[in-house]
Amino acid sequence: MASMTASAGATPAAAAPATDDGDARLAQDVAPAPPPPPKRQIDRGPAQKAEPDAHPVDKSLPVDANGQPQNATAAATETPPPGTLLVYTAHVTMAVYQVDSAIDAVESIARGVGGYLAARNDTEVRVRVPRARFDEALHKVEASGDVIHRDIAAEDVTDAYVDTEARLKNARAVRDRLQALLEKASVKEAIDIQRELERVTGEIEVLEGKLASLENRVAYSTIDVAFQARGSVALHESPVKLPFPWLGELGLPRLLDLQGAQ
Amino acid sequence: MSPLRVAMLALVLAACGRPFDVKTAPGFLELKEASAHFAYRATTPEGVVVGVRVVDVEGEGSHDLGFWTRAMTLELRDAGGYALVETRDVKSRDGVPGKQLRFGHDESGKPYVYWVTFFAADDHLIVAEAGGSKAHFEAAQSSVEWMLASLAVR
Repeated sequence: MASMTASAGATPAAAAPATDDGDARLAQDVAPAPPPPPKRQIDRGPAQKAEPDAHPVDKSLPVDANGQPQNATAAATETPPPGTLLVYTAHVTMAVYQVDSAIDAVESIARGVGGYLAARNDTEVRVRVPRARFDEALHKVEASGDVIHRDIAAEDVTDAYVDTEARLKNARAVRDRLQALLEKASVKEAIDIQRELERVTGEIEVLEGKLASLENRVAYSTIDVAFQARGSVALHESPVKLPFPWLGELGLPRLLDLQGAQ
Repeated sequence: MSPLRVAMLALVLAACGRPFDVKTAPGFLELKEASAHFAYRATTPEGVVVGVRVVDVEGEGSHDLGFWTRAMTLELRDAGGYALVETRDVKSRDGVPGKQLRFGHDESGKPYVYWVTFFAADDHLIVAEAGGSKAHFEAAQSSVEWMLASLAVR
């Protein structure tokens, strides 16, 4: 059996042969010290025992599209200017492991912070949580599984809200004027005014619904959680394929196929 | 390395002897038939499997466990959707440092456990895989750990 070489930890400088030409020559010949290795999020030392979560996972999480660590919601939830109305939405992609219990856990977290289940199927769940507890809920959701990717968006709906509110105010004013006119109108005029009143009343209902929807979207943030492999659905960009085909052979299907792989 | 080369390497290793040694725990049966991918494989009746493959790697940096940790994690976790539950530093029976990545993954809606343990030795990696349904794997976990601890790689 072959022995392991010691080159793994040797630097080029340490491995370079000594010369007889003094320090100046040595300084020229010796290769420069290697740069520190790129920061790896996975390699964090011995026995990184996971926290005792219901669904414990390694917490070294490269979670954004570039595999870089990302401060949970800091960028998206910086304090907006007063009067700004923001709708927060988080999309979280998690590893496919114990999905049923993980979806239950997400739903439970939402209810625990005063939120509710908006939708769920076998691989996805959508919950809505009070804006004030969005950060808390998102952190708990992320702690409940292995987060592969996270995307948080804040949509500014201030203009839409102000515009809708103004249109509603105008529509109500028109309705009031029409009602006043209706009291003094002749029968023939009343028919026309009634028709216009119905139109304006319909417009008011639509605008009130839109306003209520905006208020709800601001008051309740959305957290979408999908349990899926990045390889099966192209989420962001094509992953780099290293020239080691055996890496692609790793995994349960090959290992557990006791007949087909013989 | 091409699948053909993997197969040839497996056959050569079978003919010349493996560059590793592993013990088969009671309750496991070693599968003696030649495999294109595994130099060693053993299973329980419930389908908890331990397999060892030898991967030819060359070049500076090929012993960098951090590189292979990251590469395997990208392949299995980021691309394959496996949950990385835990990462451990391990040593082979003969003292070679290695890494163990413990994953979980649902197959057909049921939870499975999958561990990859690997060591760099000379111009190859010794990659030991262990997996099975979560319930059966946990029942056999002490035997799996015993087999992995018995692995000598030089």
